[in-house]
Amino acid sequence: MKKYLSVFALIAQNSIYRIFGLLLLLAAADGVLAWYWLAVKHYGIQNMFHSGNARFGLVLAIVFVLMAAVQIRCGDIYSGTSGYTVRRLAISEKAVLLLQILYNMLCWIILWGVQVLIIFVICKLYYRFGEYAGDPLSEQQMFLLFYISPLLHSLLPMEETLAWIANLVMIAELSISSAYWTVRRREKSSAADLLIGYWTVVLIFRRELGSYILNVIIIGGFLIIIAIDCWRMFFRKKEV
Amino acid sequence: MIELKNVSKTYRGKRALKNVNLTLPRGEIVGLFGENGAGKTTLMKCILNLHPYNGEITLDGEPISRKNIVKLSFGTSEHSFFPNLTPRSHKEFYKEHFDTFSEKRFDGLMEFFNLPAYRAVKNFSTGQKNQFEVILALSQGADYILLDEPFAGNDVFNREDFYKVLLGILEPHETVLLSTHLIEEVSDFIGRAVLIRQGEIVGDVYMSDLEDQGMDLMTYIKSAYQYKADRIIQALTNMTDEE
Repeated sequence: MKKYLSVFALIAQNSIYRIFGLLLLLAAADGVLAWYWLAVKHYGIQNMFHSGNARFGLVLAIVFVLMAAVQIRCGDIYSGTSGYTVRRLAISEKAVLLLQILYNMLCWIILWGVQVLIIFVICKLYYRFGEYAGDPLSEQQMFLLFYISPLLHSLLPMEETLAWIANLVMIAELSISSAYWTVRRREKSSAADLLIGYWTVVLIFRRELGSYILNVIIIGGFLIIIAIDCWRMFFRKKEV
Repeated sequence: MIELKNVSKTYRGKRALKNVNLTLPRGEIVGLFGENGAGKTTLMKCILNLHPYNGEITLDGEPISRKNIVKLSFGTSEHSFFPNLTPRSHKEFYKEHFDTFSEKRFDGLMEFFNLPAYRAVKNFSTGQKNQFEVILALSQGADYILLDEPFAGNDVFNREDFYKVLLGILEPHETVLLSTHLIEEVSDFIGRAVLIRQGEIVGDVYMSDLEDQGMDLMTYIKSAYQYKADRIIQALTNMTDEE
């Protein structure tokens, strides 16, 4: 087990600081946006999250793309001259790929967690110090935001089970695609088809409450991509 | 024993190795010599399965695979360590992955070369990086140690130290294939010299045979390469001749 953990640590240490940097960037950008729309423009928190003018979605999209880029660029421990050592380990390439997928999953979950936390902090601060300070209904109003705003509802779909499943399948798909992309990069083959999976994520954040059919389509689409990538990575591909 | 049979390798239409046949038995220190681009590094990388090739390479009678590749270690001037890790972390990593890893040898060599144990290797000087690369290759506990110009950039005293240490610590079953341009420096301690030119083995001789013939290694290499000493005089004459 320690063998696998040490390789996991090796994968993580290539990108962990960049990932933390991205999370800080997300927090800083969201903080600045919240300050501008709430304190300067007095837009109101519901308007801010609901109208989409505040561009929280855009910031998340940028961080999302950068995180995918970091995972693809730094996740491959076989590339570079250190790869000469990795190729002499008894641990198989498929096991390394699995570890890479796990690490990517962890990164996406942390990104999701940090984004939700940032929104909670913004809401809490707003209801404590903003125009509704001291309002006993502020907690309820805060949770209502997660039903009204497609972005917030996509991040935290509350009791909508299908949307939770779609989110989990999305995280799995992104993690697998990013790991597979590193293999394609190493083999110098095109990975343009993998972009389909990344683009589908846009649909996730445009879901309204109760988008049953869209959730089913998203889950189905992601599962097909996962199946194709896994077959290519774990069954068709020869070991390095 | 490492055995190469008719090994060929082509790079973008150019043949880097041409039907190489070579045997490396256990317990030998073999020098691999050749000019830049002769195929020394390619040969080593084919042995390590880092490059695809045509032909056959076996390690103790078996094809080289994930099962037996731990018998090989590699020290290269390109550096195969993990730059963000400290030597201490490398030691833990190697202990975990290589059952034969010699902690005693690692600690001894770290102390001998006076390398810091808790600084990321990427912050080492070039000379220290080379030393650390060699320490890892020697400590892995491999039966066959491939060293590809490991001291490019180190000073002469440093190299001298290394040669002495190498001779002192090697076990009888350990084989070293050492690729270098420093022919005269290594001629005293290698047991055999293999010469490669344009991807072909053009010379393979035991130092004891050379001694019997009363020939030194440099003379042998020059004759194998058909080196013409008068070409310098000729070139200088051409360049300096007045019209």
